[in-house]
Amino acid sequence: MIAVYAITEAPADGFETVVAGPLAAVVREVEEAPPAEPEAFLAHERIVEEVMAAQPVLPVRFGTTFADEGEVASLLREREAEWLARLEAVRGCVELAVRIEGSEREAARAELATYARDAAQNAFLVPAPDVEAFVARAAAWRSEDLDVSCTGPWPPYSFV
Amino acid sequence: VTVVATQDVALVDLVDRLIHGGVVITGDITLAVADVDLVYVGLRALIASAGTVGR
Repeated sequence: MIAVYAITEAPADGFETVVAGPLAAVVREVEEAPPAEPEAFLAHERIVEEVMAAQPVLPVRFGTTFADEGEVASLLREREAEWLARLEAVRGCVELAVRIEGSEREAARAELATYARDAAQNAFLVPAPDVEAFVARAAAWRSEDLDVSCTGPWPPYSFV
Repeated sequence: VTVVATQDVALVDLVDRLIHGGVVITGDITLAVADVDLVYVGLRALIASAGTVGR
């Protein structure tokens, strides 16, 4: 069984991959599907972050498996155009998870969005060099009335 | 992972992303809805115990 962790640009040297054209899926041969347990979550995340450190990455949902490499290769070919475009959209960026609770929530979200390339629910896609500035802005909104948490940088799970 | 909030929040943010985010491709995704609920229950228990230890 093949577990799939990430889609990235080929050749993705140094990783175990299935390659088709310009795309590579980062995979592992596994005996069984990963269990929904903390160790398995962290193992998945570690692999995705290793790829992210080297090149643009589309994280794949936890627990995705295929019977064989051929299935993975044909998917890479089928969705090549879509995934190449997504990789371009996240290139150089990381995801920051932001939770905001309080009366000024919308104002805070709107201002933070101006520092981001894209925004989703509870997540912002931020160019890597701007992370520090973004986090500082998020922290500046904190008050007795506004609870703000910011974690990351994460692979772009919310922007794929 | 650089964390501006607590480690507990980071863990919840991560699990949220792993099971709700990421590219969905055909193939098999092992987590059924019941499993996801279990994960959250497990995570809450983990966070609760970590909080107790912290105090």
